[in-house]
Order: sequence, then structure tokens, then C-alpha cells
Amino acid sequence: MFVWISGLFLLIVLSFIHLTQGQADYTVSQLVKEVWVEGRIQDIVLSLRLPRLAIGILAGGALAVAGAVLQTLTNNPLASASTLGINAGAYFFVVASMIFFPSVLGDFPFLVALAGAVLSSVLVVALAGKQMEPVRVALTGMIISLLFSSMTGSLQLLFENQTNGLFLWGSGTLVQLNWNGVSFAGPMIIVLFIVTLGLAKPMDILSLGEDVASSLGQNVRVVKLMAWAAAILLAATTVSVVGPIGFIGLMAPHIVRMLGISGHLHIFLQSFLWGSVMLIGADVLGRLIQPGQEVPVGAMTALVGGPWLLYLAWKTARTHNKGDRQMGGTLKPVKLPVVISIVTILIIVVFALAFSYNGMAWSLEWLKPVVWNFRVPRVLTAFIIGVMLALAGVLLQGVLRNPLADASVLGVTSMGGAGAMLLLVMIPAIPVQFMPFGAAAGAAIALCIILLTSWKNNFQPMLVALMGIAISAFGSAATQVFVVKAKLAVAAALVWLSGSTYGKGWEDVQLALLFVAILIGPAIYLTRSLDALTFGDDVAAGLGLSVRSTRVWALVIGVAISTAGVAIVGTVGFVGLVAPHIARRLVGFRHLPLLIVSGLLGGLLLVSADFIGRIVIAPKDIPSGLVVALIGTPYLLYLLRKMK
Amino acid sequence: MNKYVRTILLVALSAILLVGCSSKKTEDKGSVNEKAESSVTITGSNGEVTLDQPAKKVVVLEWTYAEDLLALGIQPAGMADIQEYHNWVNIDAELSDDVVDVGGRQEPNLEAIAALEPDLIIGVSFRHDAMLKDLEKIAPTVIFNPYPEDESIDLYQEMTTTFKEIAKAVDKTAEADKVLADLDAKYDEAKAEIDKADLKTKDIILTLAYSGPQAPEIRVFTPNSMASQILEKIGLKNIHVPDQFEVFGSSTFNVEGLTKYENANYLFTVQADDNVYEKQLKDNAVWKNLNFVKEDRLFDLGGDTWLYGGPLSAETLLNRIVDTMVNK
Repeated sequence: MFVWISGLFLLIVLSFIHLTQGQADYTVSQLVKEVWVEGRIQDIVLSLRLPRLAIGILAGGALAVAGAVLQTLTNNPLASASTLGINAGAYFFVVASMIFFPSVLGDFPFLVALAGAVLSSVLVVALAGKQMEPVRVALTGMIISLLFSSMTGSLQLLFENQTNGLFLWGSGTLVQLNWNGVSFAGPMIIVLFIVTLGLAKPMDILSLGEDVASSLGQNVRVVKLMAWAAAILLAATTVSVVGPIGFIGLMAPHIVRMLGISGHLHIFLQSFLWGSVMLIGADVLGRLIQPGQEVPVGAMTALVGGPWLLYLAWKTARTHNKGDRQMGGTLKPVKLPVVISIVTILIIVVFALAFSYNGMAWSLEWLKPVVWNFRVPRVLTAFIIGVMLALAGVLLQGVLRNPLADASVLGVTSMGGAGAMLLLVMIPAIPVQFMPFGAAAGAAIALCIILLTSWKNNFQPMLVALMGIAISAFGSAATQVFVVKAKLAVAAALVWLSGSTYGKGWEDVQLALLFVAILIGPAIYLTRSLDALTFGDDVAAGLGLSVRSTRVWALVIGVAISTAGVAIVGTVGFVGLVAPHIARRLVGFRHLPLLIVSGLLGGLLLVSADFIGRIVIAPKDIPSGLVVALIGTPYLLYLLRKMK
Repeated sequence: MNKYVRTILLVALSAILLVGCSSKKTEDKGSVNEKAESSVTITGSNGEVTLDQPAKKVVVLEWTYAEDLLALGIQPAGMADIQEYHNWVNIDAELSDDVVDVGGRQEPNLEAIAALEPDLIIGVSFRHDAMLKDLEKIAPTVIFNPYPEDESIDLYQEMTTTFKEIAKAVDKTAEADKVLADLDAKYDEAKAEIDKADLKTKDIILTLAYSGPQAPEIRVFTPNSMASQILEKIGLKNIHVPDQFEVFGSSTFNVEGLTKYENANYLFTVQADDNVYEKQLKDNAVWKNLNFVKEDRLFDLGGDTWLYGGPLSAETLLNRIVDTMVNK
């Protein structure tokens, strides 16, 4: 009861403050007096401020309830519409349809968002497998999010003018101009909420375990299906009206449970209330920080929610102690020389193609200044960076004993991006060349957090992966805030963020080679210890290996390599994930051959991506980060499916 | 633990040093060709750029500078984002069909630029600073910054300075002076017409609107912007005063923010396929009850009136203002 009253009280107070905020400055007494008579103030309150408040309450509640449902369904404290990739999928669909079919979006924004939400959640569920094991679900959701957001980012880059207004919405905003949003979303959310409340009892039973539930005569499949549908619909409804807002769905149910609420009926009811409180609170806070300016509310929730997620990840990992998983890999490796020679031939072919074609005309004069100055170093940089990212992937996957780990999953990449953007916001005049410093700082912070939090647990793979996801979510949220703050100057930053081998010259080749020369030695040296680690911590320790120092070193070297790559070409994802996988299927799981073959494959992948990005819409460029995502994801999805 | 922290620091430090060393190599392009009588020196945000002789083939990477060339009667050899240019910029001088598209403004295609063998490349600071070195490998490159951080420079002043610099580069200084003088004459004409017209008020705000999916964003131009300076020259008064210095010359508002200015005339541009006034604001009570809406003091300048740009855009803006305000 006390929880109810305090929640309602907070909601009322916050709502009142919320109504007093806006670009037209009216004092509270003016508002209170004149809102009752026809006129300007009444217009503003009725047609702008009240709908905004209403949509905030509805959206906050809907997201929180969806989060609560998803957490029970997946038995996963880290589940929510944003961590499962639902928001990113819905948002991508909205952006894509806005560019390609503007009239469709105008008529059916909800259907478009719903299609995206359904697609991404089906992908996540199908790939994560029936057990819904928390880390696997979270990682899969993360990868799906990564895929969709990299595609969204690239679209925004390519269609700069059409998507100008989308930055704000991209991180969620409550701005409303009339009651249309409320009258559309309101009934949907209320009906879905009632359906969810009806599901509370069955879900209480379900949480005892599926076997118990079915032995009690419950039709588990129907209940689960309905619960999934309700959660996805709730999330899609909110995305279509207010854009993707993260963290509410994650935090609100936890806060409710922490307040001592149990039983799904009460959890759902209270989640709705506290979700509203949190979202309205975040909106109030955003407008307090920058009066008269629109700070996206999604960014505010992320700033508060990021550290919270970190804490949650830490707690979760401590209770789930078994995180080891099979790395996969063929037991009948193809002979190394065979693999290497085939891959080398492929590389030579792709190099020859890339050197000879600029998208419009073929030419074999590789030494002509135009080609020699621009095309050749660009291709070489792409190759070397590809190698580096793949090496980092091998090390990080080896140390975390998780085939889905790479720099982006560890949060290193997204914190790097956030660091670079922060630099740009603080010093708007700073040349883009200096952004790598920001990136290095951001990546270092991410690594420090991982090292500090995982030290006691002996770098338990599960914990590291979860911390990584949390850091990564925080980093990309922060990046969003900075993108909004930096406004117009953002185009250059976005190019860099999405990863681009554009305009790389001989200096970049030298720099990349230097990095490789420094870091390859330690990487090779580490392969033996990593081999020992594959047998498990106990065996490795029995063999006289210091498990902890191996982990620290592999993490540090892996992060250093990928940060060096990020410093040169920006945040190219997927290479570090995909290349080691393919290699493992070719040469098995011993790390030295793995390292060599992965490196070659990574280089091959990025050179191909660069080539494709250069020629498809020549003379314009598609950032190679996007192309890699497009090439790499189908493979990754196929692989996830196979790794039951 | 200390040992590890130290190694991490070392790795980070060496990485930073490496990046630092490589980017510090500033190029020394000293040897100015003394013997060339006809050499010209122009000044951009990247310093002084000297050409042996006035440029004939120019590649422009930003619309404004293409427009500057057109005003001087010169077609650029190559230009970025030609298709979008036609959507947003409408000026009297036509861009010839044989101008080569060199890719996007953000990441222009270096090979395509090089293939044109230009004498000069013109870029804009907020997009092309990072690739200056690459561009200089192709041809002398000058970068301009249309949005100086210095509050005392108004953006109109910046436009004319840049225009004159570009004119110098292509040896058309006399033409540039004439264009600007003609423009000044037009301001006076326009001012006379505006004075004659029976306007209820000369207070105005000038906006450019575009939409997010559910909320329009409205850029309201500040007195510092080029467009606003033009308005002042023809006797109108921009009454928007921003709370803080806006580098890009506009503040972003939603409809609530417009209530402050409802007694002014409302000048606007909006893209036809993104008409937020028709689609999103039409039924909004606040919008409908703004004085300038109720009294029909809305002046549509057309979506292709570029509120940035050079002297020709300025002229288009001026003509459109006179057309809509005097003849309404």
C-alpha cells in the first residue's frame, strides 16, 4: 500500500512540474489561473503539454510492463525491449520506410514499427534457442541491435537531408502536437495492459518452471505465446509513437521487486506506475538541464539507466555461475597450408579487382598517381585493419570462452565512439583527426570498468560479457546524447562512427602496420595460454597457467588491437565476430592456426566490403562498416542457429 | 595489481604517442613560385593558398561555393551532390549539365575529383577539414568556414568575404564587385517597395521547418545569420533574439516557442513533400490561434529558397520576399 501511495504521489508531483515546462514561459500562477479560461494558455496546455504528459505516462507504463513480462518469459533479469533488440528493429523499419516509402509510414507508423519489432524478436528467440539462457539471449539481442542500428546509422548518413529531423526521435522524445498519438496508443496500451494482467496468474505458475506448470494443467505454449505477443505489441506501440526509449523496461520491474512487491499481478500493476514515474521524471530532468531545448528523453533514461544496468549485470553474473560454453570449431581441421593458400589466392584476386576498378572504369595502371595515392593505400588499410579486428576477435573470444564476444560486445567500441563524440561536443572546433584520442580514452575507460569489476571473480567469462553489454548500452546511449548536442557538426562524426575506410592514405597504412608490428608478438605469444584455457580454468591452472594473468593480458592486448583499429577507421563491427568463426570451422580451435587464418579472413572480408561500398553507388560511398554488417550478419545468424 | 595498471597505462600511452606522432607531421608547402607574375593568393580557414595562375577548372564540394562560381559566370568542373542541390537551391544561374558529380558532400570521391585534374578545390570546414591533406594531393585546396565561432563576424559579411576570395582565385574580382554592387542596388529597390507596401508590421521572423515523425522542428534565424542580415537591409526587422550565440545562425523551436513572436510577420520555407504546416500543424490549436496565422501574415518563400548560400541565393531570397510580401 505504501508503495502505491508513494508512487502515485511522485507521479502527481512530477506531472505538475512537467506541465509547467515549455518554451513559452508562463509562471505557475499564470498557468493555474488561466488554464480554465479559453485562450492561449489553455490552448498550450490542452494541445501540447497535456498530450505530452499523457503519452509519457502511457509509454513509461507500457515499456515497464513489457520489460516485466519479458524478464519472466526469458527468466532473464537483463531482458527488456531494448536489450532484446526490439527497439532497434522497430526503429530501423521506421527510418527505412521513412526514406523509401514515406507515404506508408505516414499512414501506418504502427504497422511499420510492429513489423520491425516482430522480426527482431523472432530473430532473437529463434537464434537464442528455447532454453532462453540469459547470457545467450542478451548477447543475441545485442548482436541483433548492433545489426539494426548500424543499418539505421548508415541510412541516416546516406540520406542526410531526408533524415535530418530523426536524430532527436532516434533517442526517443515525448513531443506531441495533438491528441492523435495518445488516442492511437492509449487504447492499444490499455487493452494490452489488461491482457497482461489476465496473464499474471498463469505467469506466476509458469515461473515455477515449465514442467510444474504443465503438470498443473496449464497450456504453457499458449500462455508464453500470448505473453510474448503482448510484450512485443506494447514495445512496438511505444516505438511508433515516441521512438525507442531504453532502460525504463529494464529498471522499473527491478525497482518494483526491490520495493518488495511479488506476484505478477502486483508486479505488472506497480511496474506500470513506476515506469510512468521514471519516464516523466526523466523528461522533467531533461528540460531542467536545458530549458527551452529539446533533450531527448530516451537519452536521459539512458544516462540514469546505464550505471544501473552495470550494477544489475554484476549482480546477475554473480548468481549465474556457469557461463562456459563450447567454442565450436571443427574437429577435423583442414590442413593449414591448404587453407592458407586458398585464402591467399582469394585475397590476391580481391586485391586485383579492388585495385583495378573504381566503380566506373577498369584500369590496370595501378601505379598511376590517382590510383597509387588513393585506391591502393585505401585497400591496404582496409586489409590491415581487417586483420587487426579479426585478431582482436580471436583473443577476446578465447579469453571469454564465448564465441559471440568481440570488441563491440565488450562495450569497448561503443565507449570509444562515445569518447570521440564527447570530445567533439566539448571542443566543437576540434578537427576530426583528433577523434581517435577520445576513442582511445573511451575504450580505456570501458576496459578499466571490466578489469575492476571482474578482478575478484577471476574474470569469469559470463560476468565480463554481461558487463560488456551494460557498458556498450551505456556508451551508445551517451553517443546518442552527444549526437543531439553536437547538432549540425554531426555529419563528419557519424561517418567516423559508422566506420569508414574512406580516404585512407599511405600514412594510415604505415600507422596500421606499426600497430600490427607492435601487437602481433604478444598476440602470438598468448595463443598457447589460450589453448590451455579451452580445457577449463581448473585444468589450465593444473597445467601451471596463471588463469587470471592470462585473462588480463589477453583482454588488454585484444582491446588494444581493436582500439588501434577503431582509431584508424572508426567503429567497424562484425569482422571480429565473423572471421574467427569461419576460421574455427576450417582449422579447429587451436589458437595459433586460428589466429593466422582469422587474420587473413578478416582482411579479406574488409577489403571486399570496402570494394563493394566503393562501387555500388559510385561516385558515392557506402561506409564499409555497413557493408561488413550486411555481409557478416547473415553468416552470423546462420551460425547462431547451428550452435544449439 | 599495480603491475597490471602500469602496463595498461603503458599500452595506452604508447598508442596515444603513435597516433600523435603520425598526425603531427604538418606539411611544409613553402616554395612559392616567385616567377609567376599572375599568381594569386587566397585566404581560407586553412590559411593562405597560392595558385600559380588563376584557376580554370574548379571542383566545389559545397553548394554555396558552386553558387559563388555561377554568380561569376563560371561553371565548376566538378561538384558534390548535384541532385540534392537542385532540390534545395533555386537561383537564376543554371548549373550546366556537363558538370561532373563527384559524389556526396560528406565523402566526395577522391578519385573522381582527381580524374578531373582541377586547378583548385573548394571545401567547407565542417565537412572537409579532415580530408584536407588528401585533397591537397590532388590540387591546391581552399577551405572556407561559413560558420565562424567568432560572434562579431556576421554571416553575411562572411559570405561576401568568401565570395571575393573565390573571385580572386578565378580572376573575376571586377565581376564580384559588380555582383555585390548590383545586389546592394537591389536591396535599395526592395526596401523602397517594402516601404511602399501596406504592411501591418515590419517585424518578422524567418524560419525553416522540417519534420521528425511526429513533431516539426522549426529553425528560427538569428540576427547574426546571412538571411536575417538581408532582411534588415530591405527594411524588415528580425525580432528573434536567441538566448545564446548560435554558431549556425538559427535556434530550434517547436510551436510553443513561436508564441513569443506572434505579432510579427512569419516568413518561412518548407519542402513541399515535408510541409509540416499542412500536415502536422494545421489542426493544432496553438498554431491556429497565433496572431500571424489568424491574420494571415504567413509568407511562403518556397522550399527551394536556400537560406544559406551566396549572392545569388541572397537575390532569390530578396525577390521572393518582395513577391510574397508586396503582392500578397
